[in-house]
Amino acid sequence: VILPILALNIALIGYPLLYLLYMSLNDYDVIRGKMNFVGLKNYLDAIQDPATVGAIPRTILFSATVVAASVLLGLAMALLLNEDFRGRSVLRTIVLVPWGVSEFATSAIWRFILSDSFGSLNGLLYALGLIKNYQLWLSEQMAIFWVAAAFAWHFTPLGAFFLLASLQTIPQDIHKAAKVDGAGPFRRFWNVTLPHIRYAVLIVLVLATMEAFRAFDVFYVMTGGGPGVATEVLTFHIYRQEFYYFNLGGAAATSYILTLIILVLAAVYFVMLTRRRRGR
Amino acid sequence: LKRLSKRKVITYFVALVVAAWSIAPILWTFVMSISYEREIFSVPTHWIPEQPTSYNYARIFGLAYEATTVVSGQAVQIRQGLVNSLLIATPVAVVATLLASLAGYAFGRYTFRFKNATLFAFLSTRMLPPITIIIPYYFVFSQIRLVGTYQSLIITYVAAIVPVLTWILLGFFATLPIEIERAARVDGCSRLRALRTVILPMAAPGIAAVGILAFCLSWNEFLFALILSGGTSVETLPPVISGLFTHAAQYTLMSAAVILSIIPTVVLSLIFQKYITQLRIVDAVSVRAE
Repeated sequence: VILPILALNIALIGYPLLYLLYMSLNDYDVIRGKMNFVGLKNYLDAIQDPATVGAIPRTILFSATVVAASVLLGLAMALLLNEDFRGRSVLRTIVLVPWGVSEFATSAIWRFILSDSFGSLNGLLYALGLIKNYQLWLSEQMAIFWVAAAFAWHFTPLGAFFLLASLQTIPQDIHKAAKVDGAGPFRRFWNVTLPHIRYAVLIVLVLATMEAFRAFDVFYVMTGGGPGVATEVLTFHIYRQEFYYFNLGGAAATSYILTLIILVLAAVYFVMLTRRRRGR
Repeated sequence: LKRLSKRKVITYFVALVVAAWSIAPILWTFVMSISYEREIFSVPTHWIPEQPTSYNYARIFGLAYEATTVVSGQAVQIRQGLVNSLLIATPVAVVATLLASLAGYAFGRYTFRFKNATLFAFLSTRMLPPITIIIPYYFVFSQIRLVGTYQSLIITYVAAIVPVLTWILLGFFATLPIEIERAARVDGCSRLRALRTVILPMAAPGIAAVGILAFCLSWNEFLFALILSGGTSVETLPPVISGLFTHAAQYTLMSAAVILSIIPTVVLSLIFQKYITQLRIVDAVSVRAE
C-alpha cells in the first residue's frame, strides 16, 4: 500500500519539480509555443528584477507580522485558557472556531469586514465616533498588515492549543515555590513559565513562519497583490509572472529561490530545535 | 481576597476580548447573509438587520423567485460549487482514510528497510509551497487530459492528504496494544483478518478523526481547485466564491455562500476536537492495560 502512494506522490511532486527545473532554464516563447534554452539567465534576471527583489522584504514583513501576532496572541490565549474560571470549556471551543474556517473563507470574511463601503470595522469605528469618514483599510501602506491580521486570525488557535498543551505540563509546585520565594506574577511568568514552554514556543514559531511563507489564498482573495504591488509577496509574484505575464522561466526561477529560502529557514530552525533540546 | 477578585475581573475581561476576536468576524458575515443587499450599505451600520431574510440562502438552494436570469447566475454558480465540493471531498475522505489506515498500520507495526527514508519522503512532499509547482502540475494534468474533471482534484487531494493522515495514524496505531493482535494471530487469524476484526474496531475513533480531517482539507483547498477546476463545470466552492468578487458583486449572496462553506468544516473541527480528547482517553486506557 505504501509503495503505490509514495510512487504517486513522487510522480505528482517529483515530475513537476523536474519540469520546473527545465522551465527555469528555458525561455518560453508564447507566440511559437516552444522553449528556448537560456541556461541560468532566468535566475540572473530574477535576482536583478526589482519586482522580484522587492517582493522579498514584503514577504519577510508579512511573515514577521504573522509570526509576532500569532505567537503573542496565542500565548495570551493559552495563558487565559490555562486559568481556572467558569465558561472555560465554552471559550476553548469558541477560540478554536477560526481554525475551522479555511484560509480561503478567512480571506473572504476579512474582505467583508475591511470593505470601505459597508465594512463592519468602518461601521464600528464610525458608531464609536473614532472616525468621521469611512476609511480605505487595504491601502498601500496598511494592506499588508491587515492581510497578516487576517492570516493570524486563522492561524493563532493552532498555536494557542500547542502552547496550552505545553502549559498544562508545568507542575503546580514550581509556581507555588516561586510564589513562596516572593516572585511576582510577571517574574513567575518570565522565570518559570517561559523557560518551561520555550520548546513549544519555538515549534509555534516554526509552524507560523512556514505557513506565512506559503500563504497565497489571503493575497489572492483579499488584495490580489495590490494596491499596485503593495502586497505582492513572493508566492503572489510567482502567480503574477505565470498568469499575467506568461514569464514561465522567471516564475520557475523565483519558485526555486522561494524554495531555497524556506529550506534555509527550515535548516536554521532545525539547528535551533536540536540545540535547545540538547541544552535541556 | 481583593487581589484574587481583581485577577478574576481581568480574566473575564480578557476572555470577552478573545471570544469577540474569534467569532465577531463570523457573526458579522452571518448578519450580512441574512440582510438584503441595500441594507448592508446603510450608515450607521445596522448590526441587526431590520428585515432579517433567508432570501440569500433560498436563492442558493434554488427556492427563491429570481427577477432576472442575469443575477440568478451567481446563485446557480454557488449551488453548483457546493455540489462539486461535496462530490470531491467525500470520495477523497473515504479513499484517503482507507489508504492512510493501511499505511499507518504498516508504519506503526512493522519495521522494514528504508522505513525512515520512506517516512521522510512522505512528509517532505508537504514542505513545498504549492504555488511553486502549480504550472508544471497543470501541464501534467492537461497532457493526460484530466483538467476540469472530478478525477483530477480527487487524485491531487488523495496524494496530498494521505501522508498527513498516515503521520497522525502511525502514532495512534503504535499505542494500540499488540498483545490482542498476537493473540488473534495465534488463534489462527490471517494477518488481514486480524486487522479487520481486531485492530480496526480498536482504531475506529482515530480513523474517524482522520476521515474528518481529510474531508476538511479537501473541502477547503483553494489553489489547486482554482487552477485545475476554475472556469470549468467542476469548479469547487472556494474558486467560485473568489470569482464573484467583481464589480457586480452581490455581497449578501456571497456572505451566505461563505457561511455555507464554513459550516461543515467548523462543525467537523469541533467534533475533531472531541475525538482528539477521546484519542487521549484511548491512550491512557491502553497504557494501563499494558
